[in-house]
Amino acid sequence: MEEAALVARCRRGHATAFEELVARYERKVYNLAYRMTGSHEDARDITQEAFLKVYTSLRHFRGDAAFGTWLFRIASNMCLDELRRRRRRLLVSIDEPYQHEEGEVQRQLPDSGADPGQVAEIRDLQRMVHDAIQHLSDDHRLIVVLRDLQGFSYEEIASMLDCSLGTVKSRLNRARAALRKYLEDQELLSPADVKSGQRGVGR
Amino acid sequence: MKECQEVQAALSAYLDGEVGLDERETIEQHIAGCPACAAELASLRRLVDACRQMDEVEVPGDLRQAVMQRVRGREQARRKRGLFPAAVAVAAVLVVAIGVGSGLGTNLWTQLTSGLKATAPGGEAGLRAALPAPTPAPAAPAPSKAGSEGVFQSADYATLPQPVPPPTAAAGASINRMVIRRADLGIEVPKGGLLESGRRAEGFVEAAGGYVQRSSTYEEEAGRKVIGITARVPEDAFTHLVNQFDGLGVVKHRNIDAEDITERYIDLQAYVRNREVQERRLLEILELAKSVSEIMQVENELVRVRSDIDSNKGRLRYYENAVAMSTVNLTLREEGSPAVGPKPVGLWAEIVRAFESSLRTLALVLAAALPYLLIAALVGLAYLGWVRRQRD
Repeated sequence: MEEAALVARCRRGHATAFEELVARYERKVYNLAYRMTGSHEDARDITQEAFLKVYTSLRHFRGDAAFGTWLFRIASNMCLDELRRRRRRLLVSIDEPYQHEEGEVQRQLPDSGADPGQVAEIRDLQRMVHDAIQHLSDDHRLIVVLRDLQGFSYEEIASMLDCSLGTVKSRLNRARAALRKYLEDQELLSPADVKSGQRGVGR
Repeated sequence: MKECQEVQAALSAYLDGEVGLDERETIEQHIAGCPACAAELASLRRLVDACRQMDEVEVPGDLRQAVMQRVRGREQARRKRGLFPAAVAVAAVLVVAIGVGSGLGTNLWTQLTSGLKATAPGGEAGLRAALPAPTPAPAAPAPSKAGSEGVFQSADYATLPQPVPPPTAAAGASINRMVIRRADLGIEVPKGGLLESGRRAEGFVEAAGGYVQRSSTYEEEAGRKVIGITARVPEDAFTHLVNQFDGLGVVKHRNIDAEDITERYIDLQAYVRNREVQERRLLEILELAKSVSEIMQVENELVRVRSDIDSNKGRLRYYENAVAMSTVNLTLREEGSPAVGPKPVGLWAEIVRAFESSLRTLALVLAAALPYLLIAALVGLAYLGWVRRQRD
């Protein structure tokens, strides 16, 4: 069924139509939230909250943007809120053990990547990139995830973030530069590493 | 030099094909003659390629259900709010009247009283099985049906007693007992071994073919670290997993609970089947409808019946999932320091139990008083209507 028709059915209170929409988008929303927060638990919560919010505000959805764009705008904002909330929590109590799981992952990463001469496997490369993304500022993280991981067009991103195309261009440029700088500083991204990764993928 | 800066600022957009034709030409000409910018572009391209190669992570299998459950909860709450209380009362009267007339009420009453007797010797299970079983199916439609189409309502309930018993009996014979199993374990591990035990526990879960639904680490007041894990495992691996967890250290508390939902499940199934019969009948009526208003009326009713079917099918799926995957709650603590454990838990459990049992008593009392209350409500409504007519 077409998306507009599904949305219209949802507005009339068809739960099954909404389930269909959830089925179409849950993967992308979950992945967005996971790459933004670095935590499966938060990704799960955010995905649920985002769909719930979408459902309850479907009546206000005017249909001037695509449903997907609207959904991702809501999900993106929830991710940013979550990151902000975390920082506030950190200010209150700088509690390492609370985040120990991710903390440990981060500490292990440079070890596995910095090993010279070792051919980085795709998995390692993916973890490095994931880790590097977690070190970007909120805005940079969001735009890199939306563009380079999820493959949205500049127009779609501009509409999601409610900004101009020019802003998307310049912010993405800066975000990519920051990402590259982080990877290079950590010596995680030497040209050789990335090449071997590419070779691995191009099976 | 200035040109290099400008070109490099545009490389990101260039890579995505998001620059105009003129700019594109400028950049390509520049790069052809500038190794530094060419290297910059190559490096940027590698980075973007690396990002694009990122695999998507798997979505947890039960996520969609969790979303839909919350959506449906929201939907039901909304519908209930919009209802006119008097209409609810009238609908309830209809339910009771027809139910009693067809012997359903008598059954309900016997079940209730036998449940009450069963509680006395100490078995709460009797009441638990008897009380919720008959209620969800016949009672659920009462609030959602309180609309204006009295015709459909009585048609619906008039047919209720006939189709219900056969499937119950038939299904009861063929269906396995449906039991939701949960375990709650508190285990003390040797000092310094907490993280290791946590990791082993998660390993057990994976080996059992389950998944970790929640895993958190936090500190209690005395600075003692605690790991809490909620695991879902296939039902047949449940006992084995609990035993493996027991082996992690000293078991401080252990609570295993099995809730038999077979009756609830079968009732719900029968209810859905009835609604489906009704849906088919409405479709037949729709064929016969002549005027637009008739069509609209039937379609409205169809929408309602279908959404009722959908939401109850959702509940069925939820039950199936809860039965197929057992839940194990594991709390790991390091040994030593203050003993936090069974005591407060016991008290809390008792409070909950006391609350539950007084709720049950209340439910029984209400059930007994209901017919009188409804008659009183009807008389009251009739009186109100009469008064209003007098005033006009």
